[in-house]
Amino acid sequence: MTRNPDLTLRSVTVRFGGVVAVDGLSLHAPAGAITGLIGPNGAGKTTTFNACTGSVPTVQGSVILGDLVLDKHASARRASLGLGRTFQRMELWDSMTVEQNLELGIECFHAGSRPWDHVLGRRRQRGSDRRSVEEAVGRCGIGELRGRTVGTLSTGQRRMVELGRAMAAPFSFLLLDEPASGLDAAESEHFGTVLASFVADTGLGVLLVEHDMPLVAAVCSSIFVMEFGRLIFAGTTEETMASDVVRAAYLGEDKDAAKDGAHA
Amino acid sequence: MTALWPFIIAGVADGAVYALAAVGLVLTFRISGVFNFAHGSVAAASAYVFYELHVNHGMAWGWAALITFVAVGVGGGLVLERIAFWLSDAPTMLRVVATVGILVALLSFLTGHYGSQSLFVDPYLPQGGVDVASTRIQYSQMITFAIGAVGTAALYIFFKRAKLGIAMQAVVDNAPLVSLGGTNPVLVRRLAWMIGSCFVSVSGILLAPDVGVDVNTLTLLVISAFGAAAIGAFNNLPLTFAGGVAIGVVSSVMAYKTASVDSDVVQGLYTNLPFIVLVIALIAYPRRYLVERGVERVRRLRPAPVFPVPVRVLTVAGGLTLALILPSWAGAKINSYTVGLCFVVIFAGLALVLWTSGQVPLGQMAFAAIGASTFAHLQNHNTPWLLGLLLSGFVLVPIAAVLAMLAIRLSGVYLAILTFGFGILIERLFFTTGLMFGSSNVSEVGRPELFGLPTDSDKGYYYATLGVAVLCLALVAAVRTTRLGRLLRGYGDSPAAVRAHGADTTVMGVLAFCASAFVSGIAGALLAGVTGSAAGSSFSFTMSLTMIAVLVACSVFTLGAPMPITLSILAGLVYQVSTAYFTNQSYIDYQGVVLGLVAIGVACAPGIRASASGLPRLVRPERPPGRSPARARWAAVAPRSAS
Repeated sequence: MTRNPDLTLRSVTVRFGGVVAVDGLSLHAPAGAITGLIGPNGAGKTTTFNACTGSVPTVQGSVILGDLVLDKHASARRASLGLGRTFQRMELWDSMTVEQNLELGIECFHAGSRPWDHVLGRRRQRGSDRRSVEEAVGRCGIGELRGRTVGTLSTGQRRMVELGRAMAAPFSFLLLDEPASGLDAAESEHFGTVLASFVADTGLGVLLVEHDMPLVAAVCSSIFVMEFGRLIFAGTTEETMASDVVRAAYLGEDKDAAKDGAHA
Repeated sequence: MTALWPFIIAGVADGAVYALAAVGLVLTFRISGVFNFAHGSVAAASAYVFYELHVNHGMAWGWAALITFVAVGVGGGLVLERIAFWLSDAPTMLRVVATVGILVALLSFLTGHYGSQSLFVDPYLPQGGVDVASTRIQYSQMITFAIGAVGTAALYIFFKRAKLGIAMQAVVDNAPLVSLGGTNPVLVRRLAWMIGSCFVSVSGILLAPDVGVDVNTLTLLVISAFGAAAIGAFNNLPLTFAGGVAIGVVSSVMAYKTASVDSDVVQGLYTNLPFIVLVIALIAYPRRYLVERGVERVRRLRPAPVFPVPVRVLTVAGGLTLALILPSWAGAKINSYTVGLCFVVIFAGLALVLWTSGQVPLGQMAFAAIGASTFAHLQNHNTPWLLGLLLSGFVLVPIAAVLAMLAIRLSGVYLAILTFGFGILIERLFFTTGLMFGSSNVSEVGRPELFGLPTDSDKGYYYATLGVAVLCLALVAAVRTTRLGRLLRGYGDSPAAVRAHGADTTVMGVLAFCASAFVSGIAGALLAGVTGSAAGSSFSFTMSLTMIAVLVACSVFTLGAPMPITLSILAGLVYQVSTAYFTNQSYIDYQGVVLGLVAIGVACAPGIRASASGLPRLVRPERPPGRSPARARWAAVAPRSAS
């Protein structure tokens, strides 16, 4: 197996008008491991993902996949260079079935930017694509849903479909944006197992934005913490969980009161 | 040089008026992400209200202007803000459709109520002037320029200095983030729309004595504002103002310099300068300057229902049978149905682009006109009918490809802006040239005699048109079943997901747009055959806009579901065939008002999303929170603790 690339961000900055949403963020997410990116709402995590995939412009800094600098490429080109992602607000093809979603994900990858491949490509191109779909369906446990229209599925099921679609396509690095939000504790644990075994088997790197701390603690080998668009802490999972800085950022000065809010 | 001064001064004054309109346009586009195609209609509405008060009711011009300013500027701004808010989570396609709907409704109402003749308002600003270095400067010119310059400068300073102004810039990108900073985004939006529509309202009042109170001219004057806005990259206010003045000066001088040139195209060039500037700006500005804001968080359209094969086969067979037996009971109205068929094909082309790639072409009738005139020329050179028809379609493919590549490299709204300008350019500059319909604006077109059948009779021509129309609809349907179709369908569901998986949405947009232009060209050629002549007046630019409203308005029949072929047939019936049966003048006059309003309604209707239960659920945009302390918001959504 060829070695999958790492993802590196070098002082990435994103501005919305006068508001700095991401401020000089640098991080490194290695292949073959799950790296966490956490922080309170509005910290700039999703914006960081959007900057990686080119859906928001960066004012400075670089996004580097392996040894490819992605800054000059548009979203689609970044994806065809291997950077896959899922969305916090799920972006599924709701009018299609689960299986069609997985197949179209691969078809998009094959279509790329060549007009010819847009017009003449066939639905099932190669045996390897079939196998990718089957493998992803198996991993995510969505075999029973494959004929169902995605728009009619529950949030938990949709999350698995979106994950499956990202796994089936030939990406070399995945950005997962709150893939476990809307899942209950059991579903979320199952999700963690699926993700961990996928990474172990394929050697892909994953950058995970997630609020579900037990999940983050269980699957991530290292964690980056953001607040107000800045990186406030980086370290192994144990170090992060023990850090006072992180605790303060999440729960405010008055820990007990905030905890009540969190459990509500 | 001294001979030029009067033209330069007139240009500065005119330019300031357009610049003022352009600044308002850019402001609202920046704040809400909604590009207001009805911006010119607001100017037109102002001019009419002013006319009504000042001329019809004899009110002093100052009071008339003030009331117009408050009613149309402030009041209109509040209405537009409401619409823009409902559109805040709408995809670009619906944002464009809604403002085009406003344009169509206003245009239709003003034309129906006041007629299409220009009305006249005497100059009301103080007469006289001063001589500077042997050139006379009118007081009215000075006042006009001063209003424009002071307005823009005040706005610029507000943006740079005031806290509210700075916050305004961030609202469209991330309203919740702004409210975290303690500014109320709703207030910001309202203010922006009020300023925007007040500015354009003032320019409407100022223009009334100069260009006459004429709904078409005033509505389309907005294209001058497009040019100015393009110079400011649809973003920079001072540059927009400077651009407006520059366009005013250059076109005024050009009008003087080209008046003696013996060519209609060269003579007409100055009125089309804004469009030329727009094209150059879209090519020249790097992509990062021309971003469309606020389209990251959009609601979904309702997915197209997929019917089982037998149902589809039966529907198609039933529809075809109806179409085949139609001439036996249509009687003398058969030509209306033939026209209707041509429009169904144009609608199908529109629907393909509208619902599958989410783009809004606003100059489709220009394509049909090019198809029709090409067909007329080919017939003059004795080209066989079918070959001529095919070539009339193909001639549009490169044109459409160039337009689409210019615009789609940017985001959806720029294709709408570009085709809007293109439609006006073709109509004003080329319709009456030898390239198209010639100076009489009409070219003869014959009907065919195909395979020895009497296809040159009305009934025969209906069948010939039906055959071609079915083939065109089949092409549109085929585009939807190839990989391109699957990609486009994916694009309709979620463009972000298509891009996130590596497919270049620009490529699909260009391909779909070319296919749509191709069928429109063929439909244009067919349309010319109905009356036996291709006339520029049957392809007017405003029809392109009305057709968009009609097509979207018809989607109420399918409950908002995008079904291109069905909708294009419905639209053809509503837009063309219905006028053969409802001959009441007020139906014809006010059809556009109703269709425009329905189109606005469809665009603003809450998003429909399938819920877990499988039933559709209505979704409204989330109202941005007011002044809430940041920490309280975080506490409410903080993660479960690690323990």
